[in-house]
Amino acid sequence: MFKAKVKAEVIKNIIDIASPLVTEAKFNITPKGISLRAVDPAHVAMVDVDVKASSFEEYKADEMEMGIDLDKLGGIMKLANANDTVSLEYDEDTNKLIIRIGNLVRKMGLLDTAGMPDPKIPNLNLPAKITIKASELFQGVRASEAVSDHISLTATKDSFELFAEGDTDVVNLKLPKDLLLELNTPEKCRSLFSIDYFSNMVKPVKGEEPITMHLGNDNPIKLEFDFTEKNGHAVYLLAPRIESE
Amino acid sequence: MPGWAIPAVLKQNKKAVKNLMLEQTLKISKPFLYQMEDWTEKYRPRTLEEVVGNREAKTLLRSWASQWNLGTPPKKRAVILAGKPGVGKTSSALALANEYNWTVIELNASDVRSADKIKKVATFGALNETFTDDGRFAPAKKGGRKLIILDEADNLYERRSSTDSSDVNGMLDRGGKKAIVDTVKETKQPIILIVNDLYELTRGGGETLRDLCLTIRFNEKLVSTNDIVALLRRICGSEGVYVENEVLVTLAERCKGDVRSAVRDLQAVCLGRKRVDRSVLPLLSYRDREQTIFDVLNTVFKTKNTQYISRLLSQSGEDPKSLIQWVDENLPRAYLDVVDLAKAYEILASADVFLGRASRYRAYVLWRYAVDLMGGGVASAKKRVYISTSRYQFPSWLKEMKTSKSLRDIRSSIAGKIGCYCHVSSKKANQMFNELQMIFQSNPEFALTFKEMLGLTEDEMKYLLGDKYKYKPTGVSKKEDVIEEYDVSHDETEKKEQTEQLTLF
Repeated sequence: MFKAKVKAEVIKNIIDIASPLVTEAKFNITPKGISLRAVDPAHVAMVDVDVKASSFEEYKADEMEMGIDLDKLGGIMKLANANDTVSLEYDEDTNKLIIRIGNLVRKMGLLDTAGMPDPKIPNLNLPAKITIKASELFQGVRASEAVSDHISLTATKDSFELFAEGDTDVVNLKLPKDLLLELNTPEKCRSLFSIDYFSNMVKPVKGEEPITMHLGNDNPIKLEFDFTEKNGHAVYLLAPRIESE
Repeated sequence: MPGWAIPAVLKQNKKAVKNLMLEQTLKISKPFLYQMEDWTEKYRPRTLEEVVGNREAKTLLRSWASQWNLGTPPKKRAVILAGKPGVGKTSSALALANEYNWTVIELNASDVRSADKIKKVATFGALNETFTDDGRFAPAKKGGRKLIILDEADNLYERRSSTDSSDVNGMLDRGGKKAIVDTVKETKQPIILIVNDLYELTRGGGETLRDLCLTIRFNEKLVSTNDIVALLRRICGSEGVYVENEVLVTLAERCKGDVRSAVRDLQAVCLGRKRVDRSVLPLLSYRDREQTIFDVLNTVFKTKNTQYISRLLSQSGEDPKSLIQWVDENLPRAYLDVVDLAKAYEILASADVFLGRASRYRAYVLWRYAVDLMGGGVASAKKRVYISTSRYQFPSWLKEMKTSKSLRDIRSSIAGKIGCYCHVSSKKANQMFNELQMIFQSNPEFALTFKEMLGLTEDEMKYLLGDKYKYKPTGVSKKEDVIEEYDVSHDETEKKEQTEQLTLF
């Protein structure tokens, strides 16, 4: 059983966060809320989204799984304005999700979840923790995108540095500790990442909201942020580039 | 696409097949049918050892893979597995990944495989570290590789529509081949390309792949009947079906090394039964296998059994017009004795006569004679058997025709315009070309007026003027002149067109 009413914005947020990595995803539904975990087809990045029941206007659910085509759901959500209330209901008999936007009723067929993996977020040793305003990070990422296809992130005791080097051009964004919301690292940490992925992971975070990064040495990066007034929480994991062997 | 989709319970005995099917539909309720697993998936080998036959290929593959785990990746970072459908290419790749505990990223023909998609999945996968399906981080240094498998890589890219004539230089190729080449060049993870037809992959932009990749061939002849029988028996054992030995042997022999089709056929005869005896034998037939042009040439050039050749040619599905090109191109490579060669060409020429008549009178029954002449006829022309293994080549005539297509298009378009103006056939107009070119090149003024008169495009002018076209705009004053003249005459033609239209009304 699943029945809920929610602002369209919340669903849109979930889709914005997950859709750069996967086109189909398994939504795990519990009485406490909705979560989604997925690995991208290239096995390079992971996403974990949690939305608490408290972010819904109405929420009633048993434990269940729903396989959802994100492009399709995104298309449906485009029919609603961010502040519209959307009602969602799972119809067991037809295995469809019934979505009501105002007087519009849209029934969406669900996907078989049998083949969808259920990854766990791994425990990683990522000593450095950096919290930064999304807008500041995004500026650096956008500049780097034009220059190279990979980006190196370095955290030291007193600064955080983003560096991209292309064939001819270089981008460097160095932020001293006092410009960051938090910087905490016992040692210098540096890892190299594909910029396409990294930029997709920064994009869903709105302007001044904080984004937290956990960084290690040639280890994945973990990005965390809240959305919809801290009722939603998203975690991205991105595997580093393989540097010359 | 591989031809394994058709079950081999064939039409030899239609009535019996009908009965069998009826029997099955009565016995099996629908939900059961839906739930039934495909045995080829269910019994897909888990280790390389379990893959039937082709021992040497498997050893090569394994030694390539073990180099990855030694710390330094091998020089050739990708492997091409080439072979006929069903011999175990995909199975070997998957079994390898399973043995080495590598995460598999598979792009097969059912996925969209445009350049963009390949880049998104294969290229990014190739450059970055890996998260496994269950969410572990597996760094390459600790052997956590991901294996990128591009299945059916020979029919990846070209989504050409045959009606689109703008496709002169493969413009519609959606960059898939290039994306693969780039990925293979840069990759830091192992890649396996799987093809039925190696030639299809390594032509038209894929030539570099031959050097970048280690090619491992899976030969269907190296899959022994005994091994297939053993496999089939094992499957029967775990399915709890008793199948008479004779049936298994027949299945194994007739699949001609296509293990997958043997397993499929087995499943088909076992459907809804617990006991299969020799009474099903008449239902089984030979599998038609599509022959590649190279097999066909090999048989024509190296054997003399005309009946067999005739059957092979009809199976090959090759158009007689292109077949004759292939034979023509490769005949001198195969027949080393001059006397044989002369005789063979004599016969080939008469085949060509039949082809010509067939298209002129639309009497395509004549193709039959043409095909027999270029196949069996050419085969019987030789006095001795040639063993040399020369490489067959793509007909150069077809190649030339393809590269010159844009030029020929321009030429015929000019001829069409002249024909329209002078009221002659374009064939006749074509005969004026040399003179016209001479005049054009020596008299630019005439060329310009002519251009306006016929409404020739810049490309067509370029063709007629040849080298002169380039030199024209060099001088500044001349350039201005030309532009002025262009402008004036443009107006004139527009007026002319208008008046013409008026008079027409």
